[in-house]
This record gives sequence, C-alpha cells and structure tokens, in this order.
Amino acid sequence: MTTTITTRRAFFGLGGAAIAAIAITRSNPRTALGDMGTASPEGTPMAMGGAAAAWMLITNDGTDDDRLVGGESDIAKSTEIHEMKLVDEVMQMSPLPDGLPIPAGQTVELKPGGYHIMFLGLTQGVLPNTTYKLTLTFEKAGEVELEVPVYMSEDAHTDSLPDDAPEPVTVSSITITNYWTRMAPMLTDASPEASPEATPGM
Amino acid sequence: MARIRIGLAPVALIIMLALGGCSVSGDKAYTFQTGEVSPADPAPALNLTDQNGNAFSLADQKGKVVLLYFGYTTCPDVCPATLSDWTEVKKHLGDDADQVEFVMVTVDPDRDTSAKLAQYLSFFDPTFIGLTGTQSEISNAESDFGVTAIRQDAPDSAAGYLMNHTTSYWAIDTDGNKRLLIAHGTDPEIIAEDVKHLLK
Repeated sequence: MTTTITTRRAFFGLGGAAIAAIAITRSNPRTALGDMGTASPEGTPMAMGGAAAAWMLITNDGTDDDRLVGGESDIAKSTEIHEMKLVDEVMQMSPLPDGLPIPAGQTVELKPGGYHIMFLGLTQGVLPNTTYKLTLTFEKAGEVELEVPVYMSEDAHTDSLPDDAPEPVTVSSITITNYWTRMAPMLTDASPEASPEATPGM
Repeated sequence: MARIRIGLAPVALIIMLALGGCSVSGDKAYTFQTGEVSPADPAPALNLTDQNGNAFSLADQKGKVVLLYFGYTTCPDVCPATLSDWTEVKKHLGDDADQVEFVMVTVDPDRDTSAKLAQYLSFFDPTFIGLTGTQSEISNAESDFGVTAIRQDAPDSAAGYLMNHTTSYWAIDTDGNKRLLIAHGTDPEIIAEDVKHLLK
C-alpha cells in the first residue's frame, strides 16, 4: 500500500502519509536581527509591503568561529535572519535571535527550506534579472557587501545557480558564494482597482 | 498574549492514500505520481471572497480541476515557490490550463487584504485566484481541509507574527472530490501530468 510522491527537492522528502494536523510546538521568538522596524508586542498587522528571502553559501576559512549577526538591504525596511523548518508538511519559521553561527572551517548553507535572510516590508518589487545591494554583518569579519541577483524560482537553487551566478565575495575569513533571491512582489494597501494587471480569475 | 489558531481537521487526517494509485475513471492504466486520495473524498463546501471582492464557491467549479493551497503573502519561501511552480504547471498543461483553477486561500486574513492578494497573485499569474474571508471563515476552511495554520508571535521581528502552515495542497477533481494531495516541491511537470489525467 504505497503512494509514490516524487519530489524535485530532496530535502522535502515525504513519507506516504496524508496531510497531518500537527500540534506544533511554539518556538520562542526573541530578537531578530537587523532593523527591527516597529513591530508591536501584539503582532498588530502593519504595512508589510511584502516579503522576500535570500539564500547563499557562507564559508569560514579561518581558525576562529564567526557569526552572522545582521544585515541591511536596499529592497526592504527590515532585514532579518530566519530559520525555516518543514515538519510533517508544516512550515515553521523562526527568527534567529542570536544570529547564525559560522563555525571555523565550515560552510553553512542558506537555502530554501532552511536558513534564509528574510526581507520584510519590501520597498520595491524584487524582479527577475535585476540585482540589489545586501550588506551582511559578521561578528568578526565585519561587513560583507553583496550585489544579489534575482532569479525566477525554477532557474535557481542554492546548489546550482544559472550560468551567470555571481562571483564569490571574500572578506577576512568569510567567503560567500551562490547568493541569490527569488522574485517577489511589493505589496501595498491599494485597492484591487489600483492594480489593473490584477485581472479576475475564471 | 499570543493568539493561536489551530486548524485541526476532524477527518482529514485519516486519508487513505491509494493502493496502486490507479485512476478511477479515464485512463485505467494511469498511476498518479502525486498522492492519490482513495477512495475519492467529496470536498467540503468552500465559500470565500476572491481578490476582486467577488464570491467564490468551490461548488461552482465542478467540471474543472482546482488546485487548492493555503498560504500567505508574508511567506518568503514556500508560498512563492508554490506559486512559481504553478506557473510552470500551467505551462505544462498547455490548452488544458483553461480547465484548471489555481487557488490560494490565505491563512492570514488580518494582513492579506483583497488588495494585497490581488497584487501578490497577479505577480505570478493574473488568473490565479486568492481567497480571503473573516477569521472565522478561514479557520473553518482550514479545519475542513485538514490544514494546520498557527499564528506564532514574533514580537521582535518586523513581521510581528508569522504563520506556521501546511505546505502540501489538494487537487479537487472535476466532480468536486479531494483527489490528490500534492507535496511541496513536487516537480511541476509531474503535477501537470496528474492533473491532465484528472481532466480525462
């Protein structure tokens, strides 16, 4: 009694189980990084502007551990470091309050389904075939500036970017490769009528 | 205090997936490659409001296949990946795409206004449908379709709160049955092949 479910991305392997209503253990969200914005304790809805994510490989060639502690970009009001987990088909996302450790001699992968740089409150659409500026701050290596390319979803995975993948960037012991972002729209509170391209579905 | 919504599905969770996955109708030899629900399970009623403010009823979609996903626009990873995949599915469907509705129900009706849903969906494809409603209507829909959606406060993030939610989604067949359960990350070409067979 089996059902074959073929997945394209290995990390989303699925057992034969049906969708499950899973009791999710609430994480303990604390301080995220970067510009905190003006979130209220009640989580009052705010003008979000849309969200996007960046992924990359971060290698520490040094002998000392380092840590990604924050970031800033020119596409969003807030740049944070988040972890996503997929547990029994349920996506769980959490800000990383203490940043992301980059141990000496190791490469840390930020890729879909896992760690990502989270952009909140987009100030512009994140469009394919464009780039934007992202500055990441490491505890020891300091600031690393990236010009991040935006790809259509199907064109890119952190492990295999298109041919025009950006050059590695090295600052001190930290080298960042395969950095990219998936296209994402900026959202406003404008009425649907203000979005002429948003035509009704069938 | 955190407001937690848990969309527990009374029934959903005991869905028997297919034995060999043989199609009930149409091409008898075909084996579905996504998760087939067997026996086919009539989909619950779903009556919400689309991104243009119009009433949407799942019952009105009979004769078409409906891909039914629950997500939200502040989602940076899984939701845009799913919608991007759908644009690929649509390409693979070719002319059959006219017989398929791509529907995302927001799990975050507080933030996902019709305006935002309209902008969000049109970024991927203007024919995709985005549904919202009152919190109660959305919670009922989540429950009816066995979707987990939990609001997780993130007071120190600019997000304010995030939504943990189910990433797999349904294909409703032309008779209004929940027929396939599609895992996040499934190859769009495979999804399109299965959907084509639902249209036969």
